[in-house]
Amino acid sequence: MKTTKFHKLKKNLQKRHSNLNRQFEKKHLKAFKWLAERNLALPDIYGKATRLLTTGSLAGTLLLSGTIQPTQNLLSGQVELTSLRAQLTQDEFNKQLKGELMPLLPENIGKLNEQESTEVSDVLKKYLGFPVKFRYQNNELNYHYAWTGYEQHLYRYPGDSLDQHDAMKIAGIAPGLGAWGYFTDSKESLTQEEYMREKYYVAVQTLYLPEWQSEWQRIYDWYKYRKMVMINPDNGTACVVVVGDAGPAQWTGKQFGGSPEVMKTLDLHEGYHKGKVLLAFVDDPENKIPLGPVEALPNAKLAEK
Amino acid sequence: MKKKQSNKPLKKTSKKTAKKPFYHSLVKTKKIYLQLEKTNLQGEQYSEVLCLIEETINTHAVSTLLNKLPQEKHETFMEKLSQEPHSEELWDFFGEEKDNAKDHLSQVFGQLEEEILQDFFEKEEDV
Repeated sequence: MKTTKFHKLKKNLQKRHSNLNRQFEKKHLKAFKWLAERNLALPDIYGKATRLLTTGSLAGTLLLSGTIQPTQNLLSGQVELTSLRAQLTQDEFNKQLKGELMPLLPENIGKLNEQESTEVSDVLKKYLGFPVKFRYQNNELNYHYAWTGYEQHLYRYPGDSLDQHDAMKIAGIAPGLGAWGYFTDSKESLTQEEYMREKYYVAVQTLYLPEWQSEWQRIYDWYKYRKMVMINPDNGTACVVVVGDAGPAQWTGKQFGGSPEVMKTLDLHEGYHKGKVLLAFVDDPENKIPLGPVEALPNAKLAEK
Repeated sequence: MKKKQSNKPLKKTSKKTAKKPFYHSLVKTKKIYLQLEKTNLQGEQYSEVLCLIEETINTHAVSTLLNKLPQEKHETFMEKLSQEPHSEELWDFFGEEKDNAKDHLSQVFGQLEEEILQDFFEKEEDV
């Protein structure tokens, strides 16, 4: 089929689908709101039915290949051993980080003011062991502290499917590609870094940045896989992530999105699938801070000796 | 040209399907899939079209079923549907109207199949 024919078919189907969605919203506003509050769309339900619940045995997961490892390199050497992360147990770490962060945060979502962002950044550096910034290389999101929603998995390469993801399949897989397309060209060429990027990605609202209209190309390039850290101050958990998608849409009432694994790390994967989080840039020019949950490393000092 | 199965992740998944949405037995897609095969689409393009078709069918199904349910049952129905979309117990929401709901949905799926088939032939502006 010629590409033009494909586009015509796609456009016809899209038009039919969006008309149906509009009718659905009009006829069943309550149900529509119910879905929106949970960050679900009807296709998610279908996705769960046809894909998730049906793929009990998974052929050839990437983990089995031995080339991909899901966990961080705990002693990567990039965590400052003077940080509290290297001195506390996980429970102490979470409780104390929560205790120090909560009094510094405003009641409402938005940007932190200068004093707040300095104090919060200092606390985060003290606990995480690496520097974080809310404004980095002259870039800043519209929100520092805001609601995050629960995103689906993303296609990593042509031919990828939910079966081939190794965790959190309950989330389903987004029907379209992420804002930056596939993470790699093929399954065979998938590296550990690319595998981790999909696992620990966030969506940010690049489209709503004030400079988007005039500098979209620069913004698009700068934010692609930009390393950040998402923190749930309500329980003191944190996850190092990359920007892997754009969104969510303004009408959802959420300002960030987290991959299923990110949301699980922050304990926001159940119930309403959302929570108020901090999202800051990781100052890591040499790309040495590993993606994934920020874990306490009480034995790091010992290992170093 | 023979299509590569590995380029069709969604179709491949569908074939493996053991549990499907509770209304799946009523869905009519045979003509659509035959037509889709004729398009010779592959990889990402095939997946995109299949996704759109599945989403359309699902939206239509849920909307039709909600039409048949009293408003006060909508929330619990959606809750159950999101948690156990394959559960046959979802038909119990319709009580004595269960068979009517099934018949009606079956008719709707038949019409929808014909409508979707038209999308393969019509120009964009005709839809």
